[in-house]
Amino acid sequence: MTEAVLPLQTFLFQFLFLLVAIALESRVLYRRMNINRRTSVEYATFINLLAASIGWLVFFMIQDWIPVDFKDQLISYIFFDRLLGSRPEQLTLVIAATGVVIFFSAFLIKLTGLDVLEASLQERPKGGDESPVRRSWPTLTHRLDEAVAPPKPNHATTILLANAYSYSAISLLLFLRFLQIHNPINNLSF
Amino acid sequence: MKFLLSFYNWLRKEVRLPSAFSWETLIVLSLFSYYMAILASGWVKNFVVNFGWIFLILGVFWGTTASNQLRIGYKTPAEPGFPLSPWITGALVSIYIFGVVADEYSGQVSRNMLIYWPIISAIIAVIPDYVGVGLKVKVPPPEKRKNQFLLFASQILLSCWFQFHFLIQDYTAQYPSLLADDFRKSAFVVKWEAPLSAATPRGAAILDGMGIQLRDSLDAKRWSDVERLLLPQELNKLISTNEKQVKKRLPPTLEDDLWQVSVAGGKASARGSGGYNLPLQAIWQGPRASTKTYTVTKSCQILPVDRLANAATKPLNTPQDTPSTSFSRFECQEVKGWGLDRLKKRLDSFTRT
Repeated sequence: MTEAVLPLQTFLFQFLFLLVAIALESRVLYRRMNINRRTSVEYATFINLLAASIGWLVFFMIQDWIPVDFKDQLISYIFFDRLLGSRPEQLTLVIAATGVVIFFSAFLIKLTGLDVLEASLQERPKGGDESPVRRSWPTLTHRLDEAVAPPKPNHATTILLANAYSYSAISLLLFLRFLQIHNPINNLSF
Repeated sequence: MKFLLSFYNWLRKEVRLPSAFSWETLIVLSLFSYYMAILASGWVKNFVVNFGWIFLILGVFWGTTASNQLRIGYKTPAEPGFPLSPWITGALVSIYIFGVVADEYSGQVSRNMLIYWPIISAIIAVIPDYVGVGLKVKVPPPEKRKNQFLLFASQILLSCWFQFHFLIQDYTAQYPSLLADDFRKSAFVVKWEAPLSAATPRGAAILDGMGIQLRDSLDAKRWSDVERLLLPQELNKLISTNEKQVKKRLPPTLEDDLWQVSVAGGKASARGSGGYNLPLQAIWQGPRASTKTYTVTKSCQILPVDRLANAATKPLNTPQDTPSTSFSRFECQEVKGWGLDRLKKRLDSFTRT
């Protein structure tokens, strides 16, 4: 073949986004959960790779089942970065809706992934933050103890925060790319 | 004959099996099976070839896993580096499964081989942890399990990347006119071109086909018939039926629906010196890099040719007093338009320098 069309940019962009997301999320996991740095990096790597893989699988299923004119739009977006003949309001609505759906589904996938990973790695109960044994008549000192103890880290809020950080970083990178491609200002060239 | 004997002696001297229970035995067994397969035929050949492959896979797996060199960062036996053997073995296994077993081994790498290779390698890398002493199933400790999760997740992502590459190849096969377009703004793909690449939009092929079809109905016919056909309604019908036939004749792709053939200007225009101009144009409504639609045009002329000028083709029994009917001659020029002008410019500048 004298010509080849290769999706090299897809690989590079995804690799970059994964690196950024793993870095940010591992930091959030490390600070809010009781784990050391190396484990937090491994957890973050796993949930991001899982979210990326499931995203790809969903994409492959969608592009199989959509009707032909949506497929034209998809092809036009992949190859030429624009949608065929749609009005601007519709375009922003579509992009905003897609962004919200992607954010929340990534959050759910990451939360499930973290729970599965932790569940399968525990053979013994977690040492360190077991909730104190409940006595049948909690005296005042015991109730004060429980009130001032740090709350058991809630996985959902941790992952939500981590997801928010990484998606903000990714949106920032995409916005910079958008500026570079569509409006080449000289002093913004990378 | 002497050469074979000396070769056999050399082989016996050089290739020493350290013991019967080593990986070299398996490789030799697989070579032996392959040699037997050359001699055999029929279902025995299939059977022996399969065995040969299985021996080869097992031998390579054992040999590469036991070796100390095929790792990244090997320092001491206590900290073996990152093993490369599952990927080598996995490549062989995927070639075996998707090439030999599925019986579509055509000498080139099929797409399933590449897509499933990372996953198969991950499975191979994980098997030793699950098989304990004496081939019993055991559950690996938690740290190893975490690494296994990471391994699987990263390999599934690699498989998705390979599948996306083949998906893009499918798209360019289904929509060949995309190749003639410009991918600079794309966030996903990049196009590597050889300088003499000749990607023409498919509309050129469609219009060429139309020129040939229209020749059947518009060339060497009586001028009155031709003029009747060139009336607007008849012309539209003629164009649309010919367009359908041409599209059926070309190898079918999904993008044919997005090319629309029509006459530029709506009707055939009269030329000053008699005859008509018939500019055919094909409009591309599909994915494209700019907002305007792309058109490819082929201009054709229909000229009246006086009967007397074609004396050689006059049938012999034509009565002499027929009025001077003329016949038509239909000729077309090359297809011009989007994609092709750029191509001609590029080829010209290439040959000039």
